[in-house]
Amino acid sequence: MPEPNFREELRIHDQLAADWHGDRVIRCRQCGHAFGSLFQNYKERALLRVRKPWEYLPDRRPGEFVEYWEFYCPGCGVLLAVDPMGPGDRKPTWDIRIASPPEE
Amino acid sequence: METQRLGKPDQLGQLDKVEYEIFSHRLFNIVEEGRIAMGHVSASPVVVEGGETLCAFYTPEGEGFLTGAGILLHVTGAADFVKRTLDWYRDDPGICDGDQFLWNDPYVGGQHTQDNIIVKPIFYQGDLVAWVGSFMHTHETGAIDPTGTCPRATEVFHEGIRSFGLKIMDGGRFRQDIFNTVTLNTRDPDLVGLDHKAKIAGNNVCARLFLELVDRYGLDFVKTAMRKMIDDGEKMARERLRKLPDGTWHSQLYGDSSGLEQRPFKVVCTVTKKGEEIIFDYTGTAEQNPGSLNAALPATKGRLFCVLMSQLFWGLPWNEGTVRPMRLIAPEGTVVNARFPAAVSNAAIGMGGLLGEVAHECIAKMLHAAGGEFLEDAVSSYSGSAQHAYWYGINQAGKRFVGTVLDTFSRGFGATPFRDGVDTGGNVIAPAGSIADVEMFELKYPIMYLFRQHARDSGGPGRFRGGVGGEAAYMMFGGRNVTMGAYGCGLQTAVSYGLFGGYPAPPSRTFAVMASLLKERMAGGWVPASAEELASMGGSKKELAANQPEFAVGDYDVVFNKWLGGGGYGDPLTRDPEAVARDLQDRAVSRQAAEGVYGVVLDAEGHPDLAATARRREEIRAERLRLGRIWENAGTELP
Ligand SMILES: [Zn+2]
Repeated sequence: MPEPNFREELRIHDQLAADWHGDRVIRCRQCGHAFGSLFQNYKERALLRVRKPWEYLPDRRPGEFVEYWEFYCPGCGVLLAVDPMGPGDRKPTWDIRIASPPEE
Repeated sequence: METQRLGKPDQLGQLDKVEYEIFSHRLFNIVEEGRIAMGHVSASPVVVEGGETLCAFYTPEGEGFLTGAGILLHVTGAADFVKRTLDWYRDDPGICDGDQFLWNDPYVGGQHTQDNIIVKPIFYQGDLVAWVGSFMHTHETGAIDPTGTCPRATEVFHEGIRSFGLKIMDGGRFRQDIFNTVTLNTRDPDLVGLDHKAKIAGNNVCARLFLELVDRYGLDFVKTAMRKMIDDGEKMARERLRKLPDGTWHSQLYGDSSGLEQRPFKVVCTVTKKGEEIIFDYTGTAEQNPGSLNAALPATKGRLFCVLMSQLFWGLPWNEGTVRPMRLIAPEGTVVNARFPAAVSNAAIGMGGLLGEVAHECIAKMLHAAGGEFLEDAVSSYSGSAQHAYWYGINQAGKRFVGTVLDTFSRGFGATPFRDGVDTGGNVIAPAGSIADVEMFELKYPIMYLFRQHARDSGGPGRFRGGVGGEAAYMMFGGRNVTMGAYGCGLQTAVSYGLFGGYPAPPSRTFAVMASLLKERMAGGWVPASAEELASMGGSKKELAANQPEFAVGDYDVVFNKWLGGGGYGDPLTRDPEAVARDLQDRAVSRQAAEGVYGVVLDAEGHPDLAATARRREEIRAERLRLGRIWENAGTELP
């Protein structure tokens, strides 16, 4: 994985980057899908699927208290985030908001 | 809302650079020597093997300027004890040469009543020139429940004896009356007593060697060096912060127990970094719990310091200067700033993981966005909450004992952008510690290990997977009137996060198998080697609550405990299929997880079918695209 170079891309996430000196749109690094502005929550434009935690494990737990909200890129289906969400949670958490890149 | 600024800037002094380096290294070796001295005097496993000790030096005003390796949770908390000693006792009974003050109130400092610290003023030619503190987690406090981390506590008054700066050493004289009072109030006075004497020994070693340094370098040099260490810490922390992007990061996790009952509660952290400053804001976190799953403010500060030192400011001096650029917002009345007299004994094990990991997740994402040299520091979760089982009764030698599982100190570490997390890597809050020595454990307690091994599927899946945690089975043998209980968090929620599409580590698990056929089967030479085999022994199975009040156990009853691994990094569908095949072979991943979450198709021998794997992964991606809904458009019906 190449190291990010802020003159070209601001990598806000392993799979997402924006051109700070250009249009400042968040794009998928795999497929180029545009998620909107750097100043909006990319999860609100991602595909969301609500899953039971640990569906894949042989030993499921009784009475788990959270759901997992999985967010995918609508372009290529790459998994972007797995968030534990409880009874009162109604909207995706906004986990990454870059105000400006580090001093160069 | 309580807002706290840790420290303020000060002037730098000018010292010979080489002499200063030699001096500061010597000082670090002194606190190491103090820690080793404590280990020689103490006999409790949590100290000797778990490494939960620490020596540190403070300025005459109580600002920490140098901390040893040990339990990092207590660097800031111990300073609070020095400051409070000055505040309360400067005039009456006075602070004199040869005094040592014993503290363990969690509303003053430390994490919970189990954290005992003795602070000693250091005098040179009649003047107070520094303080030394020796810290130790003590395994018994005489609380409502054995150990002192209490499944039944609803007030701090239930959590054992609290000392408020007792002069256990008074002008150089050991106070037997105070010693008797603080030890005979516990269930294990011998070991607790040795722990207190160990702290006195640690302080004596550190103070004597410190005074030798003062003789050698002169007091002016030493005073200037003390200030410089703190100021250097601040300078270096600000330098590092300047290299990071400005922005806001947010994380939330759920705990699964109030202390008294199983129920979810939320811990939220928002980190805002601007220029040279960083704010950790826990607004939105749940109201304080009725049981012991709470942290008083000193515990939250201590845990946050630990996360900062290990994740963000690693390599920088461990002192209070380093955290000056940090501000903590912890709303009063929440689980991260519980109001007196809330029970807080689960601050270290249960709450600590939660409040530490939400901060850690924000830091990891910030470091990732910084890129370059910081990219490899973007580490997934590895210090979530654990659950510890404990036993209380009469051991095989006829002696009263309180024993706690220490194996959870080998948690799996988080994955990074470049590699898997370390399997059973350690315990980030006590970097010098290790897990229980099986032989020593069996010698001291009426308990035999049936197995201890890496736990399959305990690391979070990802392109790089979280390191696995472990699992162990403990069989009662040779004790009398033995009861057991447990404390902690994270059986029904994962106190762990995954990064960028990596999964969190699955929750811990603890169950007991009672009155089974184990004795008969063992007579035939059979020993169970897994949770599944434990389930095959008949008897009655009891799933433990995260905070389980005591129940009676007899010989051949077994407790199984599986503890937390690290979080994963990146989409598991992008993991190298050969790596998944290796995981299967190493028992790190089950076949079900290999196929279900990694999308790797394996033949009967466990070799990956690359073509079939590519097809399977395409199917999973297509399923994601088919079943996922854009949240904006989903309305109230979530897919
Ligand atoms: Zn994409």
